[in-house]
Amino acid sequence: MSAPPKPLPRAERVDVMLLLEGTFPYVSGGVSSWVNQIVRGFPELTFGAVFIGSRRSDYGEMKYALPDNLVHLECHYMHEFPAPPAVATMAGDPAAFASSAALHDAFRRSREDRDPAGATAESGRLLDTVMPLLSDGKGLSEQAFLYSKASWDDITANYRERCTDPSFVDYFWTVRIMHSPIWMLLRVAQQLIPADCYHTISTGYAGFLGAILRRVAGKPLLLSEHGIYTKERKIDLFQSDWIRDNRGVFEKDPSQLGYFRDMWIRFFEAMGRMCYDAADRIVSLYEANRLRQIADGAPPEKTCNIPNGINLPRLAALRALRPAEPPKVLCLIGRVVPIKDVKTFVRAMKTVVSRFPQAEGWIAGPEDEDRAYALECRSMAVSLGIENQVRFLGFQKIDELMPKLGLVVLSSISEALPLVLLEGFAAGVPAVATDVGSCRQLIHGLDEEDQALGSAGGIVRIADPEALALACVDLLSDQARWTSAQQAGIARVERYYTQDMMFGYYRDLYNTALEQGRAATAVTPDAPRAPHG
Amino acid sequence: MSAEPAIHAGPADAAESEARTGIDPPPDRAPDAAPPWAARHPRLARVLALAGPPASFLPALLLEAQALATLLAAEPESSRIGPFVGWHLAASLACGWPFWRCLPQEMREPRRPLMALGVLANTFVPLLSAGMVLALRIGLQLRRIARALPFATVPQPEFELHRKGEVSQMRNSRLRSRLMDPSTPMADRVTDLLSIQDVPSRITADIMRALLADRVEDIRLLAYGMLDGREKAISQRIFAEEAQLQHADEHDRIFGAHKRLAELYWELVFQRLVDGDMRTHACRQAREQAERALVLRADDAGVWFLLVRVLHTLKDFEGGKQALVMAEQHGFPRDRLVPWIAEYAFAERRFGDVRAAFAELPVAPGAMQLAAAWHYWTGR
Repeated sequence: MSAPPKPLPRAERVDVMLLLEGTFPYVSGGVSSWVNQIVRGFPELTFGAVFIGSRRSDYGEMKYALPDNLVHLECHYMHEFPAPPAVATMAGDPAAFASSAALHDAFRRSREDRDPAGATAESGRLLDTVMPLLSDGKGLSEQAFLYSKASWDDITANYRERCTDPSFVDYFWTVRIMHSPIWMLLRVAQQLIPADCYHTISTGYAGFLGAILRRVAGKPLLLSEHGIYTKERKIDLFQSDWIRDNRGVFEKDPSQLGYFRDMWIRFFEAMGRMCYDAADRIVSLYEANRLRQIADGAPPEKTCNIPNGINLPRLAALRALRPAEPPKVLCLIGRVVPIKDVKTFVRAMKTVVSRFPQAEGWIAGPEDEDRAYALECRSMAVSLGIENQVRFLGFQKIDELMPKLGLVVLSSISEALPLVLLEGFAAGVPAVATDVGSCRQLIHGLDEEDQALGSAGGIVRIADPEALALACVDLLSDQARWTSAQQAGIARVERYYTQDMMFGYYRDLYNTALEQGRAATAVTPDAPRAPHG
Repeated sequence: MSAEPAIHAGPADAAESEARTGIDPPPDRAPDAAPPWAARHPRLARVLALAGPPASFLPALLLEAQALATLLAAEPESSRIGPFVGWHLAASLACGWPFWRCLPQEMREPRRPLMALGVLANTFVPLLSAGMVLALRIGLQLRRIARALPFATVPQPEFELHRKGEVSQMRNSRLRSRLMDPSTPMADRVTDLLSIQDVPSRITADIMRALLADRVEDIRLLAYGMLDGREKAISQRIFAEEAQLQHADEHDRIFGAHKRLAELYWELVFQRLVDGDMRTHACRQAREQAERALVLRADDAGVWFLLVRVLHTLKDFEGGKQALVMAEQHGFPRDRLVPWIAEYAFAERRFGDVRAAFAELPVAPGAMQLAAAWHYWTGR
């Protein structure tokens, strides 16, 4: 019989409360490693964390040992709906629903607005009036939303006015399900222990919780976005098959999204805007993402870039362990999940092996997050007849792995600023990566000064196994070029991407936020919004 | 067991509803009400009942005949009019009940107004009410005869007109240039891309592949998702089929699995979902699986034809020509092989044979590209 799970740490109050959606400590990956790094990097601060997940059963054991200064952890699951409030006949408050309608109108207008930041600010002002009404007993309480006549009138009127899908039943339940997390997150915010500042690592539900906490507790909110949550959700939603589209054959315009699909996209866009509005500082990892945040409604004056940084001394020591010649080992370091496009790596290995029969492709990362996908990847290696050359290693310690590699390969279809490339550079391993996120910047350099350091490998387009394979073969077959790429990678990471630099930037952010937070007094949900940034 | 929601009408409900609305009127099966005078003249009522509903007009006809006889009598006109009107009104009154009685069951409501209609019709035009029911009966009878024809009646199509006016037409001609033009607003490019997601990938694969290098990540990811989704659907079927093949022990099952695997690998190539070495690999797999299938059953013309296409892609022209012969020997239609005969001849630069192959087709093939080739090579 297995031992009962260790109770989660609890505290009375913390300095920084992290708001985490589907990441540390239950999911491994780049963002989780970054969170782990940040918490351990500030031992003088106490951290708390609110983990927001889908269902408890979707996550296994913790993937990270909790740092000593992470003194509070609580988990909430969005798909484990609590029992709804008791059914009660009520007329409802039409004025409250009119406030909600005004907020929704602002969300709709914000899509067309030429001034995204202005639209975000307007949404924020309207949210100020709506937020106090969400509490129990108020005009927009969960009970009023679920059972009141005013709510029914609001839903039916919106359906008649706007919905282009013929099914009212689907519309009704979509509206209900979509809004249900609002009250759940409100309860989380109301019951959360005090903190001097909040730090969310994405927009979405965690970001919306941050927006609520910013109003409820009146303490500063920091947002660090690695990927762009709204964009990633949007891509998912474009291709999700669980969203109904009931339009008949003569109604369906292939160039127009189904109404419910668009509704879900607008929902996540609105949540993103509310987080951008509430955040005091908005951090992205690189310039392209910062510009995307601004296009999505982030006020430019709140934004800044803080790139990831790695523990240079620890990884630099690994260079001495490398063999004289680069091993013909190509390694994809990452979780075996679709976003890493491991299948393209496996396919590329078919071509690599045809050029270098002694070459090996290693996949170093856990396979438990999407077992079906991992099985597909393994089956593909067998089907291509390269099961002996492609090895699935599971999770590996970087320090043991890096000296054995000739190339770090990244075949991802989406990335932000991948730590594995930086770790590889620091350990003396060049890389071939797809042209996603900031990979081009990491391989070829950002500005002139950076580019003068040289190329640390190769960049290819996504989902192009042939190009990926040829880029790897070119680099591995030319010792001088490989060495030049190794030196460029080392120089780049030493100059721009060290952990000390990253901690320095965050130290400034935390100090300012904590100072503001300690000066601010907590307010009740009904009180006016605390002034901020 | 959960209860069925009351709002959903099942097939039984639909049938009942149809019967109620009289789409297919049942025969007069409801018990008919007796005429008002039946109690006083039971013998006459029994005789009339035996003669069926039309016989109920008999009293009215007799009264009308009496009215006519009165009118034609050799008496002064002034003395004939009054009795005629009296007999005619009596006949009209007598028409009320038989008129109602002779109507089909489903048309008998409301009862009193219908009886009044019968009376009035006969008052103004003698025997009109009898003529009306006769015409109605004949009409219904003709309808039943028509129904007996061996054609099924289908309900009229019901088109949902909800917001129909908002639908716009696809801009096929401009789509490609708009998608590839980075100056097109991103939202428009996304909707354009979404509009072609149901188009077969053999048509859109090149544009999708080009978009994998687009500078906008949303476009890249969408294009990737579309291509990957299609490739994944076929790959998963390949994995499932391979797993079934491992456990298949019957001759037919093994043959079926090899055949399906050959078709699936070929589908990856045909839909242009694989490139470079992966394309070559898929072609080789398709050939291998087809050959294994043919070892088990050499008379399957479909597999031979698949091999014709696969070997052409692999540039194995000798093998392909043999497969063409085998496909025809096993009954594959010659007119469908002709384009491939021409294709192989063209690949080997035997242009006279290309011309001869196309000349076998008396008219231009339906497929646009093939028709263009036919016109070129036949000069017609």
